Amino acid sequence: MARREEAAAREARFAALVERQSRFVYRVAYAVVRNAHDSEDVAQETFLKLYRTGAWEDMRDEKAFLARTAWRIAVDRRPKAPSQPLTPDLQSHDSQSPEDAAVSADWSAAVHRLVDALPEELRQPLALAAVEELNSREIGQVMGIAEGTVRTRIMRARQILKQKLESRHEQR
Amino acid sequence: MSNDERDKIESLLDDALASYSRQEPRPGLPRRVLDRIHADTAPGLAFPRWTWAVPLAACLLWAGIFWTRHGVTPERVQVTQVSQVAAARETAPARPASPRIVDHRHKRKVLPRLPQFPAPAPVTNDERALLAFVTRAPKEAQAALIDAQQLSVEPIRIEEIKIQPLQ
Repeated sequence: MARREEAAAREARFAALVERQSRFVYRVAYAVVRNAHDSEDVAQETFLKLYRTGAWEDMRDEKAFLARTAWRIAVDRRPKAPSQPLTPDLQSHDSQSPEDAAVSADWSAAVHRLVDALPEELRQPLALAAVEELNSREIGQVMGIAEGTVRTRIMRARQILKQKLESRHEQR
Repeated sequence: MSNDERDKIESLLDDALASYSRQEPRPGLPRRVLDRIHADTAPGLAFPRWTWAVPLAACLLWAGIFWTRHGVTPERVQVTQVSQVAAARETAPARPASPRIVDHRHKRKVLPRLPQFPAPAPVTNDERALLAFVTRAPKEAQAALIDAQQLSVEPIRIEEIKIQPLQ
């Protein structure tokens, strides 16, 4: 009897965790895979893995733990892109050049394409930084790199994006 | 490029980056996650924990029957055949002798242990007639028969042959 009550309480705690963090896990996954369907699959796999291993009961930093688990699953799921140069060739993305798109009305979509063209080592910290509630320290925990490295990579990614946008702006 | 333009680009970049991962899931994600977990961890398809006991019991039963019927496990004796190497071949590398397996199953038949040895044989016709005679004949006849048997048992004395010397 006591065992049943304990199992029910455990189920309720896990359901509350899913309710509380599923949106956050989904957004972390989306930052990596950039696809709604795959992001949902990653979110489900993340919670399924936690449930099976029972690791969710010993989490100290809940967000960092969930983000790291989701990030690993998402990275495994993301198809391996061919190695890209550190300064991406923006011309190769669309029939319309990304710079043109960036200065057009659909500014955000164009910037997103520029970000997608970045190398993964720069794109992922930048994308995770865009997920609210994740700071540089937490991103470092997620990716398994130092906090300083995270800041450096984010700064470098922003510099590349700004240079591309400014040079295009000056040409116009 | 003026500073205002740079600030404007910076601001637009921040807005665009903020929306980069701002993707909302379809409504009901927690419910779908929990449904998936319940579907994947449902105990319906899982075997009960005692399932392994059934084949184990069958194996034990079979082994018991085998031991009861055969008594002794089939014994295999490995006999290593040592080959004699000819003098001419002594320099060549010796080949390992292949082990020969001899099966003694058919030779070792265990005979049943008898309560009386030798086993009692059925009475022959002569013995039966003698028994009938002993039970029916008068005492004088029995005594005569016993005397006759003793006489027949006594060794026959043969007198020494005396050969007369030739004259």
